[in-house]
Amino acid sequence: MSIKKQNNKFIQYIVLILLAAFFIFPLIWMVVSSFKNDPQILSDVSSIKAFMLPAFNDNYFYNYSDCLKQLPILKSMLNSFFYIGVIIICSLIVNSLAGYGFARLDFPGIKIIFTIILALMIIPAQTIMLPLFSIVFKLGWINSYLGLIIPVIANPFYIFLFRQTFLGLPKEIEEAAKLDGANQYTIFVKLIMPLAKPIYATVAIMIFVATWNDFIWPVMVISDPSKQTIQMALSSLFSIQPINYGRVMAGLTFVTIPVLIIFLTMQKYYVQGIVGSGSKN
Amino acid sequence: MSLQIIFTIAPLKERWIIIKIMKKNRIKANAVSISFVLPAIILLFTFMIIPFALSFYYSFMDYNILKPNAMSFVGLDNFKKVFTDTIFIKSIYNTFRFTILVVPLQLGAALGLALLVNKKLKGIKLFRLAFFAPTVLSLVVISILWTIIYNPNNGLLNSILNSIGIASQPFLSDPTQAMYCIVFLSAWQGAGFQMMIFLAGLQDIPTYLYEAAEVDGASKVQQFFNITLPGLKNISVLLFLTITIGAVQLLVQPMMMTQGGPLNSTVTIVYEIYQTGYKYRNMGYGSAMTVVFTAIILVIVLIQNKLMVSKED
Amino acid sequence: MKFSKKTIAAVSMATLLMFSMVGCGGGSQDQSNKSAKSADGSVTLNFWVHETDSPEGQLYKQRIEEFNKAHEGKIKVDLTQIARTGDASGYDDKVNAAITTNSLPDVFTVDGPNVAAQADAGVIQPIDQFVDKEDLKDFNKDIINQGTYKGKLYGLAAMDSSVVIYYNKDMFAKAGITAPTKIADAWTWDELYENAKKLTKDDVYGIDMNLKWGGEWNTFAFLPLVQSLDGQIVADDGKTVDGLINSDKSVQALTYIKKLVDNKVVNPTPIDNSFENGKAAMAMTGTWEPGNLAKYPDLKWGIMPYPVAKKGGKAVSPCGAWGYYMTKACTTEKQEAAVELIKFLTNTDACVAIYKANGMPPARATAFNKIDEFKKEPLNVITEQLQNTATVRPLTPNYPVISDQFSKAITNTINGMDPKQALDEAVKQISVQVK
Repeated sequence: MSIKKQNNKFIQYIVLILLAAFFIFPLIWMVVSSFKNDPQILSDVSSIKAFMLPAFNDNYFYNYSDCLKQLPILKSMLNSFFYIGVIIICSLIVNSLAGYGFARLDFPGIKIIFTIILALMIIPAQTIMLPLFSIVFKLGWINSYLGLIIPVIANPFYIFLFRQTFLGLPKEIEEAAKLDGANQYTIFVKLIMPLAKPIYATVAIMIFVATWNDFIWPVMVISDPSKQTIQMALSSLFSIQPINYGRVMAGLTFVTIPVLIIFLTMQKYYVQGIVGSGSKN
Repeated sequence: MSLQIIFTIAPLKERWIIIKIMKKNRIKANAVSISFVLPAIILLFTFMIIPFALSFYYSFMDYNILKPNAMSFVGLDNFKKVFTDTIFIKSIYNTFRFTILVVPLQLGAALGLALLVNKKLKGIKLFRLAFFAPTVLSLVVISILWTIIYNPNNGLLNSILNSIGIASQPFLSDPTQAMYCIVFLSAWQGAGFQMMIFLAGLQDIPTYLYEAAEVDGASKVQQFFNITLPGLKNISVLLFLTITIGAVQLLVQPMMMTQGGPLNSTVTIVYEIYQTGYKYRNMGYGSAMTVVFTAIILVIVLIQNKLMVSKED
Repeated sequence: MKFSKKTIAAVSMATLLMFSMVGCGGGSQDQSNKSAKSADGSVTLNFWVHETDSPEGQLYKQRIEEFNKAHEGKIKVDLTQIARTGDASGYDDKVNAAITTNSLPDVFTVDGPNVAAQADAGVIQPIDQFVDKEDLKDFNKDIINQGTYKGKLYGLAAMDSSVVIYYNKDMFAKAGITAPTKIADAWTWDELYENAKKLTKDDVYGIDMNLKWGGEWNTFAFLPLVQSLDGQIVADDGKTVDGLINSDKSVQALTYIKKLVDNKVVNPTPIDNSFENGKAAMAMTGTWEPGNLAKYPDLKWGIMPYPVAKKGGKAVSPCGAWGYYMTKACTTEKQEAAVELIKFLTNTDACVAIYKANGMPPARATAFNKIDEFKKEPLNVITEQLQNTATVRPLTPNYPVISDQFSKAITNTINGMDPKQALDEAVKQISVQVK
């Protein structure tokens, strides 16, 4: 029996490793290239050497020090972390509240309003960029983090996601709590939120990734270089002709590491088997 | 509940007091309910509905974005043009082709990956990271990387194909292959993202269901079809909807990799809207395209929703 | 029922409030300009540039500091540096947003081909009355042309650009080919084809023309092929293209490119730096290339001029660059100061400094004289081209769609479409977008 289990595990690992390689190879290429200089990168790209660190290099970290020297990477990263952090907190609260409202509560017009919100998911962001800028401008939020934060807090997709999750939770818990005299707010905060931890973690990761990679809107809103976001800071790597690939790779690696770390950190909220068995007790 | 019992046993002339109390309770309940959704509604109204309403307004105008004060009313002219614009029509065809291909591919991949990583194996977190990794880079960067991978001469992919005896493919320079290339890399990029949602859904299915099934002697396959899939129904519907909506909005990959070519095989609706509104500065005409696009998708989504809702009962 | 009426009332109020705030189309407030003259009589100018942390961006920071010091108490320039990816997205969007909300700076940078549209829309204003007519003669003719619309001058530039053919000296020597060094000896299309053919062997292509770039590169690099046959892609009215963009001359130009591709003399999808890596004997690319070539010190390279259609034919070469322009937001009291700034940014020192920062050729004759590299081989070819054969791209507000369609026609030709068909397609598409 245990040999079969061991074989099983072995096969699982092989499959996982092969798949992981498939999904990760461009990232590996990116990181490895960040340690090379341009002629090396371009000549290696057509062979397996693309994934191997160069054997001889006088200064492996040249691209990184170059990047750090030329660009305000650290400050812009802090800026990005700050405003994205605010967005995540506000967004989780606003969207999950709405998701719960549409899942469990009722009020006149709820169906119509929810359908409208559903419809909003269709509108591509680029098509409303200029009118949105006019509005933010009139509100006086240009060149302020308010202009980056407030417009993106409410998001139909996340509302929908929360709603679906809450719909899937057993009603008995809430009804039991209501019989005990709890009001709706207490139920939400004390019961529902803890039960839905994985979805909160998921949405937090999604918000982080989406906002971290946002470029055009921050450029339109922010002019003050001290408020620059990380993508704005890195943009000059891409626009100078001729492109210095080594530096670009180093810049991209800088940009990617925080997201990966956030992802790994959020993972601890994905605990197997705890959720959903609330009714057992 | 107790109010209703009292209501039925109360004498008629005192029933109106009870009705008043019930109405007051209803208003209070409504207020509470609305308070949950009000912040989101206000924000969405201000920052999505109003801009879209403006966009809708522009669709009836001749509006050059360099001359915002010189807009002139042209009625339905923009819409008439939209329906005879061969490139726009081609973009609709291309967009749907992309959507029909990418949705099952990405959904299937996401589910498969979620099942694979929903285990207590050591280091499973790192594997989840690996699958999620493509989402972490922006679409712009992914597009640039994959353009290099797909290079017809000595791109990475062709090098691999050559080493196993397959001739080099034109990939993005071929009108037939180009769209498939974009489908593939889009599914590759998005699968990890949806895998996380599926994973959350899988975690939600109570383990005692599986335990009971084991005791009853059900095989893994039976467990999958009878416990897992039904348990994931809500999430699946959601993901199906959202991948579809994301797919019909395809913009970055054609913009960065093929500029709509070769031979207009990768022009998508949003790409055409973007070109028309921002590059050619015809915001009025572009807005008309947006309105038409939204209408088409809305109809499809509503139909989808109706089908799902009727199934739910 | 009471409640939903209240909701409706609240929502309507909110709507009214919102609409009154937005006022469809932008009001006429002037937000970003501080008061024209402050108490001590000094003028503040807002200046936007499209470079952030690149060497050119650093140069702007430096130069503005110098300017402010030199004009202390009289003019103060507030520099805003704006990020972009690719050619201009980011910067362009911010400019569009500023136009929409009436919050433009006083002076900003505009790429050559965009000037006509901005001028036509009144986004930029003429500067004729403030410039020194004598000094204008020092500029490359194409710089003056790109900044002029309907007879009025709107701005100037400190740098220019061109396209030349870089060649591998060793490969040429081995094949026994001599490269011309003067425009008078420039190769004809046929000569270029024949020599490229000679140099194509094994996995080395005769020439690399960046054919996979598409976009504005196609128009920038290949329109002169049409122009050298005395052709145009748009009439002087700025919108008629039928009979021009799809004329015989354009067809000839595209057929030539097709010939090069079909005979495998040029790679339709080259890997970057093919020339530097020895995978192409020549590279037809921009004047920014020497920066790249510097990373390959073992490669011996030279420059030859842009080809002509036939012997003794009209010699034409690409040109155009970002320049500095005064916007409509610049009030009358500030205009002289704004043009002072533009003059400072385009004087001879500026041209030389920009060359040192980004390697682009200068916009002025005196600057050419001051930079040694442009007086001798190989860069003197660039000098000769910019001072004699540089021809601007069409000066029309409809430039974006016309150029885009022309570029697409070239890409379609490379992908196998018949040139005449591709160009007729272009005409059709242009008519959809242009009235």
